[in-house]
Amino acid sequence: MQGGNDNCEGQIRALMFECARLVDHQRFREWLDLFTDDGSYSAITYENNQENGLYLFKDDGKESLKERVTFLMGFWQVGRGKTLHTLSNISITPLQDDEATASSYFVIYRTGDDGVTRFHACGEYEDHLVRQECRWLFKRRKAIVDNGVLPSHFTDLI
Amino acid sequence: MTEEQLPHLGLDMTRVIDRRVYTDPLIYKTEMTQIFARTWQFVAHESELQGPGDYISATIGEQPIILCKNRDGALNAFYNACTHRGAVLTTKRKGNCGAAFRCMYHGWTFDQEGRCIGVPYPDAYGQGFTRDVYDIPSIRVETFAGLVFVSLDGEAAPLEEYMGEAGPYVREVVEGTESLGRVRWAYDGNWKSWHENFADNYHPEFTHPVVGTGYRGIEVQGNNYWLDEGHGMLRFPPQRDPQRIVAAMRETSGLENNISDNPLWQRPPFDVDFKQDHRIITVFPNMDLQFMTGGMMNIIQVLRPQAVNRTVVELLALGTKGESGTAREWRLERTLDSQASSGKVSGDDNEAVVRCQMGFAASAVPWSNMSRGQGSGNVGEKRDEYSMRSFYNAWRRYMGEHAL
Repeated sequence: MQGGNDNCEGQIRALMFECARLVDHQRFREWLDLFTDDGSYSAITYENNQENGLYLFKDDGKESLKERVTFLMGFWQVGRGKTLHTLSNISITPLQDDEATASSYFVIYRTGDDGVTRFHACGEYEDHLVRQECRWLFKRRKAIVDNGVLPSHFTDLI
Repeated sequence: MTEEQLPHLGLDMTRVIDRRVYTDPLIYKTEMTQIFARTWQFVAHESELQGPGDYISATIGEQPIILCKNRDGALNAFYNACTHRGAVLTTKRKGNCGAAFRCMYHGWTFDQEGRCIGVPYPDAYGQGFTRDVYDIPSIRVETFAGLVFVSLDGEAAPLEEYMGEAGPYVREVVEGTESLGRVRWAYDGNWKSWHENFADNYHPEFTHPVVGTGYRGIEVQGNNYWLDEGHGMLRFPPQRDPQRIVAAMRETSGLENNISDNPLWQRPPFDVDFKQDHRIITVFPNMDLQFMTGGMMNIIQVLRPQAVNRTVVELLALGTKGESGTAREWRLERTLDSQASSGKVSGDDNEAVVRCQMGFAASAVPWSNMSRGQGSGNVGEKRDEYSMRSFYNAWRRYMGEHAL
């Protein structure tokens, strides 16, 4: 990796933390900018990821991602809960100078309209990252959700 | 409460629902015995059980059961409870038991039909001990168009008869399908609220902005059917007008959308008859099917009550047997986009049923109105509520003296 592995890994970690921060602060338009134009964002349960590949959703390309953002900005009536994402066990594998894969664990808490904060979901991200114009972006982010029974409010970004 | 207390509503008890049916733990307990134990309950699509020993476990009402394929290919159901001390034989939702289930507690074993075939150290039980007394009671299993149902009550009518008027409509859309997989979610609400939501086409234009703003000014025709035996159906023509929806999305977010670059709006890589109706079928008491325009999106949902105010929805996605790899990939990636608690449509449905359960606590507001569609007959326009009244007609019959 140009610029040294440590530097690149640090930038990729920063991207992953920035993504969590934007999601938790509901800055959805800025979240969009973390993906390449052909970027993909998807979610699948652990069970289906192991077995059949039935996705909860799979947004391929900026237009699909924009549609999700539109739903988050009012096309859903579901109240947007305040979420808190915590990331751990981040592992980054360089592929080429401007390309890497990463995996990480996530735990999400959600505070509902009732003000009660509950455990929401946990799982693992599988990321494919590329560097474009000196900036690392998600080319693919797949959230593999451990929950075998999902929460009823599950429209927030994972 | 009685009918005499209703005149101020101008309705009778066939058109209003006492909200205690959603909140009273005793009514809930009675539903488990009077309805869930006496009706046909969907457990699996037969494609989910491929080989000998494959099983799916489920809870019917509050009773744990196992559906298992034996070495002859027959499906058998029996209670998921060791006859020795009661431990469930499996805690997994599905798997393969091999030749037998072995209880993890004292090692008693049961074959693929629930027969007791092994008891460790049996001599200590004395000479009168016989294993077959400890066979697990079997449960009736019948299959309809590839859908496998069980009935705990040996007295239930045959499944074909039970499906009644819903049968031909279900068969038409389900035959030739196979399972793509399942997802589950839980909501804080009574099981009937989700079932009613399926039978309700009054709500979409208000609950779902994608429908309300996307189709503003357009009156999509449709019908709501009372089908006998407590079933119901909604039918309406395909609703697919991407340009209007994109315009509504732009209005909401200010983001420019280009649907030609959005795979979600591309035609699927298989033949779709865009003239075929969108069909939603509710099967009494807790099964819902949705078949969208020419089979683009096919799902079954079954409600597994956990408590009077807690329900798990199990969704089974369906594909077409023998379809191409690209068609299957499309379905796996797109089928749930609008469905489940993460879905672009169902997300709001979850919100609605949770809010209803919260509101049911207001005891001074004791009734829910389900009287839309005052015409005679069993079919109304799409916002009518014939299908809900069909459900409660059957609900009262099953509940008998326990009904409100």
